[in-house]
Amino acid sequence: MQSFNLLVSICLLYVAALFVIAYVAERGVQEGRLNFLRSPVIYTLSLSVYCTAWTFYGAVGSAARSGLEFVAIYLGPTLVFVGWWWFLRKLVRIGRTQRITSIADLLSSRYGKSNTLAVVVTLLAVIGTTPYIALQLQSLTLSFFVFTGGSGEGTSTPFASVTAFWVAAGLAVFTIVFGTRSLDANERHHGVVTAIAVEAVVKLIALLSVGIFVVWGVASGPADIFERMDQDLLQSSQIFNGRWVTLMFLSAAAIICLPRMFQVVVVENSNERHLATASWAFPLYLFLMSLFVLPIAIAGQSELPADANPDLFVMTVPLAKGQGTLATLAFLGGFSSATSMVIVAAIALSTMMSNHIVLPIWLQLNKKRSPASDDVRTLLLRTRRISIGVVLALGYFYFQITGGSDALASIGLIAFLGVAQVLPALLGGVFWHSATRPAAIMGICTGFFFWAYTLFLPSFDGAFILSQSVIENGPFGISALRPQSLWGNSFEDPLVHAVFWSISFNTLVFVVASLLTNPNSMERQQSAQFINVYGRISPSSTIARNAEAEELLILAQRILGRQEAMNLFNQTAVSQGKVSGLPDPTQPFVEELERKFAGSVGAATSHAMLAQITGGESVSVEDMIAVADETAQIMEYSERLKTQSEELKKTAQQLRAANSQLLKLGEQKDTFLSQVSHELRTPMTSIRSFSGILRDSDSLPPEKLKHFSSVIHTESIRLTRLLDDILDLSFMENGKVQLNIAPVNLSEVINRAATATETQLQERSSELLRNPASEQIKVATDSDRLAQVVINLVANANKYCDAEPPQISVSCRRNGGTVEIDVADNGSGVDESEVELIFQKFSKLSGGFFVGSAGLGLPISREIMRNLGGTLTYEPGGAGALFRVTLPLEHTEPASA
Amino acid sequence: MKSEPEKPEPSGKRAQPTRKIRESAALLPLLGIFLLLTPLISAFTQDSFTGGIPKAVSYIFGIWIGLIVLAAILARRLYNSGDG
Repeated sequence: MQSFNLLVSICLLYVAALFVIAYVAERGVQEGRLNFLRSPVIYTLSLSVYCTAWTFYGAVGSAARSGLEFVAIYLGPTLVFVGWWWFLRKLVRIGRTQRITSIADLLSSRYGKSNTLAVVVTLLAVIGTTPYIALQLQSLTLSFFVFTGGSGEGTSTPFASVTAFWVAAGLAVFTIVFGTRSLDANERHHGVVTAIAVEAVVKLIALLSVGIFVVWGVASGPADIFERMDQDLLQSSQIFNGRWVTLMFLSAAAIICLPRMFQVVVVENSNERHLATASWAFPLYLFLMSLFVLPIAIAGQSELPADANPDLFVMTVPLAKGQGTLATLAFLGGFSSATSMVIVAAIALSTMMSNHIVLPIWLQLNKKRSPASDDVRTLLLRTRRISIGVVLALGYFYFQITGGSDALASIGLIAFLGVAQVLPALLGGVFWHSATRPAAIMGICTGFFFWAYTLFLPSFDGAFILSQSVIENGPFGISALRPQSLWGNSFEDPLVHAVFWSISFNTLVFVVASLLTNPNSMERQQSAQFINVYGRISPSSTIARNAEAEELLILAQRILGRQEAMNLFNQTAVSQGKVSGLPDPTQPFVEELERKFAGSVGAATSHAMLAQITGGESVSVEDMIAVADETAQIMEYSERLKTQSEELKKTAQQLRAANSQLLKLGEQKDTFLSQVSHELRTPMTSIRSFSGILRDSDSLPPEKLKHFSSVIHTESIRLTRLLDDILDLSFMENGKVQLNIAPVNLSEVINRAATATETQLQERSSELLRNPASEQIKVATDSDRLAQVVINLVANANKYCDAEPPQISVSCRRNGGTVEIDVADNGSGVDESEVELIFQKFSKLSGGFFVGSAGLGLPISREIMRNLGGTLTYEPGGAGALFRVTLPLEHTEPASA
Repeated sequence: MKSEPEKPEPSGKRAQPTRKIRESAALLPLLGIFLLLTPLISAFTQDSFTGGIPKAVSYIFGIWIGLIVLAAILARRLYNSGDG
């Protein structure tokens, strides 16, 4: 047996060692040394605050009473961590981007930075955690008694309360010293975390040592230990039941929702990748912690008297075997479990209380003044220290009031369920866009009410608010409302009953209220930020705020500290392109400040403080209109782009068409050139050969000489005419021809044509039939050109008509605003397939129609008519060939080619 | 010369396993729930001993360490592929 004094000295030495470790770690990290303290191992070990004295001692007790049930308490967290990819990763990412300081802050921030919600969650956390702290104090005093020879029943003696008091006071001092050293922007406490990691190692070593001693020291191996087992202990055929599922659910919820777990998992996380390591390392830690629980319980049952307290087997088994040192180590393990839990819980709760309760009240009281005018920093630190004291004092008084009763022993799971009430709001907030603030508040309050009514208050056995008779018979004797079997539903276990009803009603109210209410603009903004946290969407930046940079600087100095605030402002000024002076209070800057402040005082308070300075809510109706306008502008712009691209498409199409036309024209030009050269070649050849004969032979008879020179002459004339025609056609096609528009009688034109073709007609003894009466039509046109067309047509008809003798008729007719001149003959006409060809330059029809001609007559005539604003067409279906000239009575400009 | 044609291969190869690994990481807790939170557990936890250890104990602790090993493998792969 260790003496009490020795035990106290060991404790004090241990605590002193923790002080030193925490101090060295804090300094080391600040100075940039000891970076291994930011490693995933430290992070994982710090998570072990989950294993409190209740689990350290109580797991063995639970195993002794109900077999494997204790494993569920560890399997729940295992599943959550193994499934970190689903939820914890998102939670940690949100915590880092939004600079979350506590679970209350997370919910408040998600639901529109609502302080009401933060207060509700804070109160819930305090109510759920205080009994838990009391439980730690009780375990500590109990373990003291084990060594000092007490029976473990006398925790209500004055001596016990003195012990508990000093323990509480000592923990308060430690927490205040290392938990509130600074208002670190991210609220990380390297000293505390390192100390807790050390305690985690002590816990693990202690439990493993006792376990190994039991298995291989007391018994002779695992098989031997299980041989000693009471056959009814495991009840293995009934492992899977409502309680098994419930415990798994509760512990899984607790690992996320417990304020102290949230503190170490999310707030103290310095690198998201640490979570990847913790995803298997923390379950491994839990695995090792529970590996020897069952053997220790079995050993306790078989080795110790039947009335021994199974909760203390971890210490009493080694003690009974005379292993004082091992028992002391076990004691230190329990001591570590209790202290680490109390320290972290106190830090988490004090942060919540100061950020969400004290600071908002203070802001409210000083509404008239700008928050920049007081030292928020000092106020905050002081509040936090006082809060830590208050939390521990609450725990102590709770212990004093209920000390030693069974009520306290079962408080662990009751506290789990209490804080688990935030789970629906938390899950909804992280995954569901439509979750709203009123719904979250209502859901949590509903769950809280059912929790208190069905589990928390009945746990006092009628000593607090609910009397014994109410618990047994229901309020006013209404049995349907009996706290432990609502609506007459009898679950075998009050815990399963309470979990079922409180979580169900909580979720139901939360979901229904979310569907019935609408989130406000701030909630919408925040929910988008939370749910799309991987998408890195940037907040809308159109919201204008008017703030003085000086005021912002003062406020920043009060919250962040002088040096850091100056650094931040200088950096921003530089990034804004200013050489000196303060940065402009632009929206992004104010938002960054808000996030920075949120890391110290929480989202709601930070928002309220900046709102007080910058004047008003961040999102007003005008802002929304501005946002809407911007959207409209963007839409209009995209509409414009669309029409532009359509226009471009159309233009491209036109260009393509023009290009193909140009290609065709180019081809035509080439054909034309080759045809022209061919046509020029024929007369040129005869001219060359005849002139060659003339040059070479000196003794030609005169008649031959005459014949040859006349051939040369005729061919030259033909050549000249051809060139004239080509020139004419080219002028016509380009529209460069000069027209002498004058009124003229058609009979005059036809007379000229008849005169001009008279000799040709006589050669073939053709007959020209005219109708002089129809020719009395006056038109305004170029008479020379029109006559040229008619001459050409008559000459063609004379030349190509295959009837003997040819008869050519010319008739005129008025048709509305136009005049038609028909030139017809009595031949066989033009074959229908060749109609288009005859109008092309140099056409040679297969029927020998144009044989021996240059083939430019009809194309020139057609071009003349086009220039005169009329047409020249071939009318098929008549007896012979019929060409029709159509021209307007009044001259109009021709359509461009 | 050798490194150049090899370059595109790892990135193309890596994209495929990373996706599978992410999906596996997401599915692992479901496997745990199936093995530990369904009546399946009763089938394996009859009152009998294997090697001196009750079946219930070896089943639960076996599943537990199995989940831990799988989680460790997945975490390592996710971490290495730069997606941790």
